[in-house]
Amino acid sequence: MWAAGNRGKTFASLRKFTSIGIKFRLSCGESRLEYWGMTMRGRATRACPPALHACLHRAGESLAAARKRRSQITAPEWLAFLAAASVLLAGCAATTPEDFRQQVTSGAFGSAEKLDVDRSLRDVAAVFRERSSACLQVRTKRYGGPAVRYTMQVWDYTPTVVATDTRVELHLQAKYDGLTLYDQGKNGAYVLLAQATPLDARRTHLEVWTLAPRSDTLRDAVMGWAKGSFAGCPDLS
Amino acid sequence: MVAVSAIALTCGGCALSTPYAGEGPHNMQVRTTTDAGEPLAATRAWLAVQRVTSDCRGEVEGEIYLRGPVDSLHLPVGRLSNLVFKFRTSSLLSQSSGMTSYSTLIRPREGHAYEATVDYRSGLFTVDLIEIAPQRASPRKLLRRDIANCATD
Repeated sequence: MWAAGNRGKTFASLRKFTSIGIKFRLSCGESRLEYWGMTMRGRATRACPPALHACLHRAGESLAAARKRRSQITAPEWLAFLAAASVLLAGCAATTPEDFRQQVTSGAFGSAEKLDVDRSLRDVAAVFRERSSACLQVRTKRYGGPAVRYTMQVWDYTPTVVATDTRVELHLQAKYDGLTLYDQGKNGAYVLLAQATPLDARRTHLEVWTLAPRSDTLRDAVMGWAKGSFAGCPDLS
Repeated sequence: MVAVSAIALTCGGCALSTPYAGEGPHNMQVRTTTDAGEPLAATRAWLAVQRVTSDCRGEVEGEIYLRGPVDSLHLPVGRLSNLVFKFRTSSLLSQSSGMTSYSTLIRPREGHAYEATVDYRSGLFTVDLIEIAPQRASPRKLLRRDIANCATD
């Protein structure tokens, strides 16, 4: 990851800046975009916020820190960053469950898990309703960055449970509270989709697709609810 | 720089805006354990007590740090309070911290005692609330209630 995982590389790139040319490289997972002078090339990623958003946020923080340390790095670098972020984020937010499922299946930022549980579909639906209301309807805050530029991200999470006789789905969407370079939709982009289908009267098949900075805890919690082995909440911050 | 970062991450924003000063005999105990589950990381927990307005909104009465292992406080008897348990996990390695919360309504009854068990472990947490009758009969587990539904209480 360009900013968070390899700051040395970040500053190596920044050192190439001159008064007549700018080189800007942004790489988040599989996606990469390079900016050099007035030429920009890249490809939009299939990944969704908040994973990609967090990556870009950290890239911005690094740029800010570099700006503090190197007075010659000024507005053009920010413009390059914004241009790069715009291209990366264009059209990336999954605002339907099916888009999200496809993105996770084909992308690099998500995971898909399958599980059979010894509970009826009705019980799984009930626990999804109760726990999602208690644990997933939250606003989280994330603080970070170097001490010289401490920043805050606020995310609003919205769960939805859709139940029929043959299927129960738990959806979780995350919306960034602030300026974004992509269309978030009403409740934000999807970060989790759990689909439960009955195997028989007492057993249920569960598939969980996740996409979040801390997707392990979220996935573990949802699977724990379905199995009946966990009754707490995941920390979505 | 490391020292400055450490101070910012562990103490940044941790000053309680309004320390809780519920006056009266303590009728609630909170048992707290936290474990961030990562090296050079820590989780702090605190509790915000909110009075509930007629239109089901919470107004902060005050906040209390849950330093553990047991903290106690007085909750107003006979009226609704919204308890908001907040967790903030800070990591020196990632130079970041995250904050989340869990809330539930409670209407304490005269003569009853209440006990909350708060456990945060590696990004997963549980908050259990029980009510203990005056004669120490078997405790009753209180189900979570959302402040949005306060009118039905």
